[in-house]
Amino acid sequence: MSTWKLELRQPPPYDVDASPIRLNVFRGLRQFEIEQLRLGSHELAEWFRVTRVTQSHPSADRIVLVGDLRRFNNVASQHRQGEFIVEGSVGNGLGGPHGASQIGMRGGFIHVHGDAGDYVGHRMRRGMLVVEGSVGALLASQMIAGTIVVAGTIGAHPAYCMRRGTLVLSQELDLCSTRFTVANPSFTPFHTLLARAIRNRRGPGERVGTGARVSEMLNHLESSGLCSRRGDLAVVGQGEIILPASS
Amino acid sequence: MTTPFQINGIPIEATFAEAFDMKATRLIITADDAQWARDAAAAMTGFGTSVIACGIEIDVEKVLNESETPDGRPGVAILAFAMSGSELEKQIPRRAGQCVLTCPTTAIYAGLDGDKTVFPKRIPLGKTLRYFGDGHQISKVLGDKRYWRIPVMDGEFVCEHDVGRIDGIGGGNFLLLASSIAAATKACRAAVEAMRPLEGIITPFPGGATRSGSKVGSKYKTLFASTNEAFCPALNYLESSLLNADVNAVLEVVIDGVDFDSISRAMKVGIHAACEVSDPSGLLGVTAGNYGGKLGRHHFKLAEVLA
Repeated sequence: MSTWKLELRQPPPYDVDASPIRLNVFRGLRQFEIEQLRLGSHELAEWFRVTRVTQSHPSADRIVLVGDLRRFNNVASQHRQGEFIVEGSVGNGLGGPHGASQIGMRGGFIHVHGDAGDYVGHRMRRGMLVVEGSVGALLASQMIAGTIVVAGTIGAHPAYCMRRGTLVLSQELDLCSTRFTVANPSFTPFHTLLARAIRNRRGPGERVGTGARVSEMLNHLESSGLCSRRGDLAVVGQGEIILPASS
Repeated sequence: MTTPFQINGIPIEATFAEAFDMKATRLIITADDAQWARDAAAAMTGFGTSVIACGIEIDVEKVLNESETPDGRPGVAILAFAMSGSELEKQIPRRAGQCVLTCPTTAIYAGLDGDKTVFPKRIPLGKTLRYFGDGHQISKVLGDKRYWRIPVMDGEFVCEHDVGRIDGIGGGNFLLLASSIAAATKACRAAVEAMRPLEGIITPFPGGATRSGSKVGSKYKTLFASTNEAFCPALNYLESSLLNADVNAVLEVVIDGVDFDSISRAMKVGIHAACEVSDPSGLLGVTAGNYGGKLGRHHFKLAEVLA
């Protein structure tokens, strides 16, 4: 099990396709090979300082990105297993499909401590994606399954053509009433299981937990009660959007 | 009868309880309140006293408070034992489906914490119950566990995909020989009450004890168990009787456990409690049931258990 830490040296002047930064690309590579990966017209090492972190009790492969990565798109695309941590904000296409693939994130865990751009969790199939901050447009578009938790604000057209899966949000959304059900009170012990799973998540060798905003949001959800909306009915979707009952 | 030692003046026979291998699992039932959890557990553990005809031996292991359950609600832990893994795989989903799924507000989880790498043999829960959702069920993987959420009329039934299976031991026992049924009942209830807080064991018979202790086999070819006449006071004139003339009632406390030490500890606690609450004129002796080593490979020697 490996933990790779990539610290941004300086923000690029233009957007960069960061899809090569993936655990299944990194697996088996040595440090200099990772540094030589191409990000657009540049080598990865030109943007990031790469270090391999030794863990005493590794439990999963892990990539940690540090810095303001808003110009980096397609981060953690098609993430399959292990953990992807972003200590900062990221651009568009977080956890989305890679290349011409029809399926986005397929497992594991992605945690963004800052904000994320458009198309977060596009075509997501499995796993859990947590964003402490806000996200852009088309959150969970064409989502197939999995769980997305967002503590901040949500951009336009969330859950567009969502088929299944779960969105846990901190506030009511302006969803089209012909595509999503009204908010119904939700009585299920599953929400406690979900909150505990997020809070008690363990990283390689240590307890990772969540950031303050997601913790605060979970506390609020548990104290206020929950409601859920289902959709996208336009595609006969059974996706679930969990919101505070007071919203 | 050799009596190497006594407890509270009550002789303990120098013999052993003979127990056998079983397959076991632990389940946790939770509900919005303790009463629903108890109701579901009572239904699920019903008709689960003996593998002789029930197919499974199942009972509540302990009552759990909110801090001890996966979803933070009151619950109970249940232990189930069967003679084979396939019987357990048949009985558990049936009972969960008819007794827990049907009970308002309940959920059911694995009580053995470990995935396939820890417990390779698995017993289905949501793996089969999910079909009740008729396509509306939702699967969720949290960490290394898969849960199923099935829409029902009070909201949602949540259950874990499956539960691990372990090797257990069934048939740990001790017999209370008494001058009257009242004295036997007093000793039996004290024993069972003292064993109740212990983890890893159940006493699946009504009130924790049986009056119809059985021997292996019968004169009737179709029966593989029949009354243990050696401990029937009404048959004390038989040459095979193991009872003195002053014994008028015998109750057998039967214990299934997850391992040898759990049963051994329970026997010690139970026998001590029975003896301490009784006087030698009521409880005339304590012995154990065995079949000369033919039934099972686990032998609980009373002298060692009580040492």
